[in-house]
Amino acid sequence: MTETTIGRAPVQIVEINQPICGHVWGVGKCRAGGGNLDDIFTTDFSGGVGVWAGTTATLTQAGDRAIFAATGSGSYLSCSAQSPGSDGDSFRYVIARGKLNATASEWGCAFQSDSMGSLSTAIDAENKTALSALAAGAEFMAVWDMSDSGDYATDWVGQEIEILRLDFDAGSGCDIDLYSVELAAENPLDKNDTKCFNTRATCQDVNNFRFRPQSHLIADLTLVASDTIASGDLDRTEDLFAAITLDVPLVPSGVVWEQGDDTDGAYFGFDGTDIVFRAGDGADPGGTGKAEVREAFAPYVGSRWTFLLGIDVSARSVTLWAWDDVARTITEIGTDAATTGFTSWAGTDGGAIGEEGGSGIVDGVDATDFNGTVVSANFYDATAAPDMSVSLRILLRFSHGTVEDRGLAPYVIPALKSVSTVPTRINLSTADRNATGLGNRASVTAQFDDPNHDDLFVDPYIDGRTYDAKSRGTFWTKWAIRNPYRYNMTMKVYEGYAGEALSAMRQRTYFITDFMGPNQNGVNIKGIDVLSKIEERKAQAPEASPGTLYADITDSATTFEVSGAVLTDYEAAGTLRIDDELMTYSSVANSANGIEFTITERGSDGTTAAAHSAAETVQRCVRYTNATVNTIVEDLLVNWGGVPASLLDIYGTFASEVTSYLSGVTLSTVINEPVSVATLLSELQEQGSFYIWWDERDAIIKLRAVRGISEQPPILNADEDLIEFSVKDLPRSRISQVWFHHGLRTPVSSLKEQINYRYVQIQADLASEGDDQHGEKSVRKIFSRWVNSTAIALSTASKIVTRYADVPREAIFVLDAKDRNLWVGDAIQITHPREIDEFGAPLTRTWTIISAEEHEHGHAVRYTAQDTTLYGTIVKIQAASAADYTPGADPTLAFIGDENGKLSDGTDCARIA
Amino acid sequence: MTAYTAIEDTRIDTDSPLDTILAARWRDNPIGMAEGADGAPVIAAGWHPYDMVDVGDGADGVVYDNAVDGNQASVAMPDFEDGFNYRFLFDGLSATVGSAQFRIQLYKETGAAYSSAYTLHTFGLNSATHAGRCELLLPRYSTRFHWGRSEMEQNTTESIGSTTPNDFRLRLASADTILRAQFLVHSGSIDAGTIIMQRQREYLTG
Repeated sequence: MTETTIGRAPVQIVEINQPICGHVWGVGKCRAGGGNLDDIFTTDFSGGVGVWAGTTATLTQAGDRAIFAATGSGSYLSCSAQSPGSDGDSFRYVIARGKLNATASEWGCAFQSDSMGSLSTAIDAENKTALSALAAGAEFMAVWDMSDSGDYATDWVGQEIEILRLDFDAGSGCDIDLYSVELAAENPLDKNDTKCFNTRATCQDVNNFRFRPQSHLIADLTLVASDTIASGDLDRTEDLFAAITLDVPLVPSGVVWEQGDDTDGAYFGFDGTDIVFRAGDGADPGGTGKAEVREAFAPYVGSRWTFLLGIDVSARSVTLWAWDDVARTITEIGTDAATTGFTSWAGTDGGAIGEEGGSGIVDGVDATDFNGTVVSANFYDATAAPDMSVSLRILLRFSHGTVEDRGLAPYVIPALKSVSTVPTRINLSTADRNATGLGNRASVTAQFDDPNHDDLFVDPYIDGRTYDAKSRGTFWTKWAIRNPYRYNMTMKVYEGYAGEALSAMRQRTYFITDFMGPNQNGVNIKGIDVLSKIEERKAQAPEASPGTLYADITDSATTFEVSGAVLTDYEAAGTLRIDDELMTYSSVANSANGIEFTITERGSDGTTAAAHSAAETVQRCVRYTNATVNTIVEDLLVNWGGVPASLLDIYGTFASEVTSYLSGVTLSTVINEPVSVATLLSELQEQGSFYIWWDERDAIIKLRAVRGISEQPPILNADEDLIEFSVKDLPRSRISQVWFHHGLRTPVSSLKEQINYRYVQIQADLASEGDDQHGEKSVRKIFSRWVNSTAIALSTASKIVTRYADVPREAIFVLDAKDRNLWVGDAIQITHPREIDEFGAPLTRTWTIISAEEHEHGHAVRYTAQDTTLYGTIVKIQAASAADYTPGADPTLAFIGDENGKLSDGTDCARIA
Repeated sequence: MTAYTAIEDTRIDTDSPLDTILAARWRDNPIGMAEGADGAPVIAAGWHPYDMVDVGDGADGVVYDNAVDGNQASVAMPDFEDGFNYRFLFDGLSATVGSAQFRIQLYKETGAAYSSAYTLHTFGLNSATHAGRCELLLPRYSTRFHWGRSEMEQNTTESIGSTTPNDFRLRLASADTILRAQFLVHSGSIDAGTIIMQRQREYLTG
C-alpha cells in the first residue's frame, strides 16, 4: 500500500486476444468450402486417386490429407475419372497446400483435360519455382496458373478437368504431406478481396486453422505416463517434433521423456533447478556431440504447460519451446547445436514417458520418475518442428483515445467508450441464499465506438488489397463477420496510469460471452470470468451417454452389448447405471453389435441387481473414492467443465490449502446421471468447507479453506485508510442449526430425502435460539452425496454454526486506489470508531473480502467483506527458543496461556481445536 | 529409541512460547514413553519394580538382599498401593536350617493382623539355594477370597522342563483388603538370596 497516484492520469486498455490462422499459407480462399482432400477423395474424384505410373511412389490417406512419397524421378499423383466441378465450370488456377518433408530437385503440377490428349511429364518452369525455393519442413501453398503452363496454355482455360495431376518430379527423396487441393477460376493471390483475414472463419477450413502450433500435424505416437517407446518407434536419424503437456509441480524433478542411453540419447525432464532437453552424445558432459537446452524451470512451475521439442538432425540442434494455451504465445526456452556427430539423436535403447525406459539413460541428468503429471505426449516422427515464428494471435487493444493512452502498445485503436465491471463475489459456506453456490461471476462490459477502419493491424495482406478498407464497413461490422467464433476469446482490462508500461498495469481477465451491436451506439462486449464455463447449460458430469442395451439382460448377466456408442463414450473401467441399478465393469471392448462390457459387480453401491430390457440407456457414472477436494474440483473444472488447467492454481492454493487445512476432508461418491458441474461444485464447497473463485487480477482460479486467519492481516483504520465504511446485518444468512445428512444409502434414490441417509449430524447453538437472544431457530439442512464420515460432517457443521449462529455482518468500505493491493479472498482487520464493544472500547474485527471492484477507475476501490472474526486465528508454532509473550506480539504466534486461556495481559491465548 | 525429555515448568508457564522445542517434546515423549526411554515415566500397566518412577532412575524393587540385610527369619514387604497387582521374584534363597518351609503371610488391613502362613516351598539342604516367584492379584480388592500363585524350585544343574504353579487362596470370614505380604521360614532364618517386589496396574481398586 505504498503506491503513489497523485497527479497521474488513469488510463485504461481493453485487449482482445484473437486467435488467427497460423499457417504460413495464410492466404486462402475465404470461406469457399470444398477444396479439402477429404472432399476431393470422396466426391470429386470418387473414381480413384492413385499414383500415376509412379516408379516407387506411394500415396496414403491419413485423416484429411494425402501423404505422397516417391523416391524415383517422374513420380506423380493423379486424380482421374471425375470432373471436380460441374460441366462448364471454368478453372484456371490450381491451389495446393501441403508440407515438404524433404527437399527434392523439382516440384510442380500438371493437368489434363479430357480434350487435351496425353500428358507430358515435363513440369512447367514457372510451376517448379513455386516450391523449389522452400526448405524441408516448410509448409506451402502453391498456385499454378495453367494458362501460363507451357504444355497446356491454350487448352486449359475453360476446360472440364478430367485428370488433375500433381506432378512431383521428385528426382529422389520426394516426400510431401498434401493438405488440400482446389481449383479456382481466379488467382486467390490476385483476388484481393478473397484473401484470408487469418481468422478461424476465414481460414480455408478447420484444418487450416492452427489453433495450436502442432494442431495441423498428425501424431505418430500419442503416449501417457509409463508408456514405453521401442527403439524402432521413432526414426532416430530423422528430425523429430514432439508436443508434451505437463502439470508441472512447484519443484519438478525427473524424467518426462527419455530415449537411448549414455552413448547416444535424448532426454527431456527436470534436473536440479533446470528444465533440460538434450540429444546426441549421452555422456556427461557429452562434448561436442551433444546438443542441450538447460534453463531454470522457475517460470513454468505450478501450472499446466505444453512443451514443444524439436530435433533437427542436419543442424545437429535441439530447440525447446513453451506454449501457453490461453495467452496463445510460444516462448523459445532455448536452442543448442552439437558440432560433431549427431547422425542419430539417440541410440538403440528404448525409452519411456515419465520414467526411465529401456536399460539406460543419458548421464548427468535426474533419472528418477517425473513427480508431476504427464497429461499427454505426442510425437511426430521424422518431422521437423513447425515454424514457431508464426504468431497465432492478434492482440487487439482499445483505448479511450486520450493523450495518456497513446504509446501504451504498438497499436491501440482509440474506440473505447467505457468499461464497467461487476466483481466476483464469494459465497462463504453458501450462506447467501440469493447467490449461487459458487457466488457471483466477475464480469466486464466494454462499450466501443464503431469507426470506419483501414484494417491496419487486422488484415495481414493489407498491402495487397486493391480497395480502400476504410470505405468498406466499420471496424466492428467487419470484425464480427470475420470472427463469428468470437465467444470465449480472452478479454483483458488493463488499468494503470499515464506513463506506466502495459505490463506493469493491473490486469483483469475475462472471456467473451456477449457481443451486442454494432448499432448507432457502437458495440458492447461482455466478458465473464472463466467459471461461467460451468454453467448448467454448458457443463455436466457425467454427460448423457448415448449407449443403449442391445438386448435384454438378466439380473445376473456379467457381459452385455451396448449399441449406439463407441469405446470413448465410456471409461476403460468404471461404473454404469441402467435404470435404478449401478454396476461396475472391468473392461469394455468393440463387439459385433457395438461395444461389450465385462461386469464385475451387479447391484453395486446399495442398488439392486435387476433384469433390464433392450434399448434401455446405459449411462456412464463418475466415481470419486476418498478423494481430496482439490482433486475433485480439478477434475470437474478441467475434464467436465472445459476450463483450461493452466487457469487453476493447482500447485498454489489448491495444494497448499488442502495440505494445511483440508487433508482430512476426503470425499466419495458416484454420480450416476448428468448433474451440472456448477451444482456439484456448490455442494462440494458447502460440505467440504472451502470455496473457489476466479481471481481476475491473477487470472487464475484459487481455492481457500473456510478457516481462520493464519497470519496477521493488514489493519485498516478510519484515519489513514478508509474513505467510506458501513456495515449491515445479514439476518437471512443466520444459521443456528445444521442438520448434516450423510452416508447415502443409494445414489439412485432422491438425494433430498432424509430416509436415504444413514446418519445425521446435528450441530446447534441452542443458546442463540433462546428468547434472550434471537428467539428463533434457523436451520440449514445439508444432504450430502459426498460425505460418509461423521467427523467431516461434524467439522463442517461446526464451522457453519460457529460463523452464522449470530447474525452475520457484511461491511462495505472504500479505499483509495493506492491501497488496492487488497483483493478477493484476502483477510483484513478494521478498526473504526463505529466498531466498538458494549463498553465503547475499540473493537478490531477480522473480515474476509468477498468482492472488490475499482468503482472509480484509478481513484477508489470498493470492497465487500464479511465478518469472519469467529473463525479465529490460526497460530503458528514458533521457532525454537522464541521469546516470551509481550503485549502487542504478533497474534498469529502461539503462546501458553493460564488456566483460563489468557495471556498475562488478558489476551486470549492459542487454543488447540 | 526415541529420547524422552521432560518438559520443564518454565516452558509451559503463562506467556511461554509454544515453540518447536515444546512441540517436538509433545510429539516425541509419548513415543519415548512407549519405548521405555530413559527418564520416561514408567508404564504402570507393565510389570515394573514397585519403587520405580522413571525409567533408569535406579529403582530395582529389591526388598530383601541378604548381603545387605543379613539373615532374617521373616521379611515384611512394603505396603501395597491401591490399583496394582504384585509379584515377587525369589533368587538364591536358602535357609540356615535344612528342610525349612518357606512361607507367606498376608496382612489383613481391617483385621489388622497377618493371616496364618502358607507354605510356598520347602527348602532342601541348607546349603542349597532356591528360586521362584509368587503373584498376588488384586490384593487391594476388598473380598473374602484372595488368590495367589507361586512356583519355586531348588537351583541345581541346568535343565529345561515344565513347572507346576501352585495356586493358593486366603479365605476370610469377612471381606478385607491385604495391606502387605510377609515371607518367612518356619525355623531358622533366610541366610542368602534376594527378593524383588514388582507391580502392575489394575483398574479395579484405584
